[in-house]
Amino acid sequence: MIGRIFNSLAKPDKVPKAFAFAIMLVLLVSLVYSYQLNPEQLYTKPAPQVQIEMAQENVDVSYNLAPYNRGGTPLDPEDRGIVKSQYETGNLGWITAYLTPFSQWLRNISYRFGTTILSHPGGILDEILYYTRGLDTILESTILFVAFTIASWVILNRTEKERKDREK
Amino acid sequence: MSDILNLSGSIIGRILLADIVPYLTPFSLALVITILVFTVFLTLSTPEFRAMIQFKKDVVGTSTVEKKEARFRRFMTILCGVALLGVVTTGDLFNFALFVSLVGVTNLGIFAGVKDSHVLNAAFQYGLVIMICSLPLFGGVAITLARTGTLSMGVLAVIPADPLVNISRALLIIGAIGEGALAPFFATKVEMIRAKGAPYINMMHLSSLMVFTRIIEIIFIMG
Repeated sequence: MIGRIFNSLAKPDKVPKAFAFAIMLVLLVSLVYSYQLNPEQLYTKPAPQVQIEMAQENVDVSYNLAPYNRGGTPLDPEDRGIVKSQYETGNLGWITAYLTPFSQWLRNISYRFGTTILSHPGGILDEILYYTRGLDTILESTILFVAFTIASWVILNRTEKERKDREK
Repeated sequence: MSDILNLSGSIIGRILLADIVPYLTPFSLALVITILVFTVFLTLSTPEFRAMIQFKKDVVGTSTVEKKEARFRRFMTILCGVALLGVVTTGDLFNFALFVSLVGVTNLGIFAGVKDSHVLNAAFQYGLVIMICSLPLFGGVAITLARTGTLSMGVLAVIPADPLVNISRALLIIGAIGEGALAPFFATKVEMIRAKGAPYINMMHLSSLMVFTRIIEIIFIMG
């Protein structure tokens, strides 16, 4: 029985299935625990849809960023808003939300800017969530580009081989 | 911080650039030197000539990889070395997960240049494993962040152990096993190693070793 299991693991096409099964077991065990967030890292969010009421009363244009505004003024170290730095040193957390001119314009005209994933370069989610973690964005896109390189290499080889076969 | 000191000695140097906080200890310095020497050695070496004999026929000769293919695989080897440097020096848990998945993808790239179909089939299965294990790897990091509120290894070493952090440790180790093609899942690796082009394939063994060493260190740091 055990021998048969180990022999089936020697076939490459069984490996991903066995791996997925092992992950499933660990995840099943993890269901037992109760999950709580660390209270020190939670910041006060504006209530959802509050920006529409606020904007109708002309209160504050920064509410258009809800639920992502953390208060404070962009690019002002004195008035940081609620941002917790994960590292003691460095300039983390100085900029609560750096907005490009286009984002500023969009924030001024739209109530729902914070709820939209914008696809223009430096969309608001990127600007706010990724500002404090710079290297991650570079690394993520590096992984993506390496994967693209490999895929294009494989496809290129295959088309060349097909072309040679047709010429024969 | 005490765990890091106990495990690998005093911190020699550290780069303070926002979230990019690589640190060097005597232990990781040894790993860095090994990786650098190995990568330079593999970059300078030429692909092997494999003896080819067909029985009952008069065919005796050598075969090697094409120049174009060798160049692509050398590029992937160098990239894998750079990713490994990140794996052994980084002081941030999320960056560690990203570097480990970069190692997995570049390992796959070393084999993607091969033209034998059985090697490519095995590489495809390994690619599936790499894709699957991004779930436990990043899930483990996310649970750690939500529970402790930090990703810095220096801070994590001080925080006492907690059952949820233990779950994320289990997830991290299973993710690293998949990305590095470690112990029970190396059937794909054995099939892939039958490919030609010996020096570049050794990078995969080195990356398995380094990912394994580093994940053990991180498991101890988090506890």
